[in-house]
Amino acid sequence: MLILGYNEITKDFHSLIVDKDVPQGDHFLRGDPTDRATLLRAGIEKEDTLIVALEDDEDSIYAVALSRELNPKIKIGAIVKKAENVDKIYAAGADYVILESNVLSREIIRFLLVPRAASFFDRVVLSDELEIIGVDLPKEYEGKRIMDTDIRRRIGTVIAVKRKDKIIKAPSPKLLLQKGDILLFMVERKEINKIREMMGQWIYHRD
Amino acid sequence: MWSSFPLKNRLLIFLLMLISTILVGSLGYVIIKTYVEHESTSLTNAIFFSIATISTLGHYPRGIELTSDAGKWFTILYLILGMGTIFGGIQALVSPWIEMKIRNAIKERKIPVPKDAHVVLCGWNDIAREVGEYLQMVDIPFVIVAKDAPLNFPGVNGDPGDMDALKLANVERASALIALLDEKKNVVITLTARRLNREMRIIALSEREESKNLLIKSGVDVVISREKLLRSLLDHWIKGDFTHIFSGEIFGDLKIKELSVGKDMAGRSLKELRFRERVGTAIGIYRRGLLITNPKAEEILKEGDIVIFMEGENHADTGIQ
Repeated sequence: MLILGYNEITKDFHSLIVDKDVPQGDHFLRGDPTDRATLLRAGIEKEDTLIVALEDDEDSIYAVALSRELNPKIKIGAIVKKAENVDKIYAAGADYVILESNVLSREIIRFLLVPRAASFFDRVVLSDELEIIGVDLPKEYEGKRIMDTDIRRRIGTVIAVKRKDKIIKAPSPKLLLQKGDILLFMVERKEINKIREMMGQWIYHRD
Repeated sequence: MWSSFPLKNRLLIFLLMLISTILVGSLGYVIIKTYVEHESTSLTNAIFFSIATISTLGHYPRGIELTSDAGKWFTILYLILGMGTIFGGIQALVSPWIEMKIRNAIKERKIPVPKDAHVVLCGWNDIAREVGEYLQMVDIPFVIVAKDAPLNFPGVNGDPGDMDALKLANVERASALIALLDEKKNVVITLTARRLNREMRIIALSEREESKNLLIKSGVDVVISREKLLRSLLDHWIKGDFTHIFSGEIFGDLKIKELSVGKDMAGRSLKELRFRERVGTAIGIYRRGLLITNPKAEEILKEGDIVIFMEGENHADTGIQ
């Protein structure tokens, strides 16, 4: 993984960080992150994931476009400050964009309106106490309704079903499960191994 | 005395005083000219004398000035009286006009500040705008306190760290305050606001996780750490798990809600209550500060429990309670 931009958010990721002003060290590279030669020196062509979090949105947009050109297969996640730049940076080739003010304002609203649910969300997203995992639908459940299976008893409540590109949130117990469905659960971290044994391999989570 | 009259009345009083001053002058002039100096004179000369004197013109055309001692004394006294009328009058007329100018410069606000049970937003930036727009949408009253508070929302222009600005925003009776400036400023805002209101919930933004304790000690209830939140979203995206999708799609649209269990629901299980069909999918229960995850359908609810649930697609439009 490669990171463009050294700041409070990125400084603890243990990957190569490229910025004009970085401390001395093995996983830092001093240079202009919007410069083609710097990106090549950082080995962008061999990387699979890129995080772009530069001080200036325009720099981030340019860095995304440049990286996309240098490595068409790389997965790019980016953080922007201004709402108008979200579309621009997606157009430049980003796969996942976080709009800072949006994330923060939503978090504030949650704590304002539903404080308990917000602290619950906090435990899921910010700590490793709880986790959302995806499990491939076992063959024996294909064509059955959720209520007719022992899924809830064995693992827990299905909070969503991913079906192709769609996510069915809080599915009805009467939902007919189909081949290729991915069931999403919210589980305590310590339970994950138990589930792994029960359900075979579960996907969409790599440590 | 002047300030107790409205501007229109002041103008009228000023004109009356001016006219009576001129009349007194003209009358005195005619009496002295006729009976002391034994000269003939006209009304025009009398009025000219009066106005030339009180306007401190400084000299009179030949034949108009009073030359006797009594006439000179009259001129001196009349000059003092006239100047008093003119300067006093001008001051009384001009000062309210200047006041008005100043008041307009401070920008008079049309939208009133909410009186109670409102949210006070401290600081004006993209986050405040988004929170404000949302609160407006769900009809929760709020006020913005900032040096550059916008005019299209209820607002108070001022430093949110100042007691006076917070008082203008009726912080004493607010239900929540949100501090959106930097850590240093947020600490000052919290300390100030807590002196006015012990009960309300204070939510503060923090750049760094390490400032959290300081903010909590100052009186903040919930610290939202920018660094931690953004990093965790990136982290989940890198790991490729589902949380980042969820945070956008479900948590983002406030599909996760909470419900506190009252007497009517206590003692019955989720299954008995048909919780899933009627309310949503229960994903956790807070009971005396402990969190029970993935509650079973047979789980019996107790009074005071807080059920965290997700609305299903069919409940999606019920909005926020």
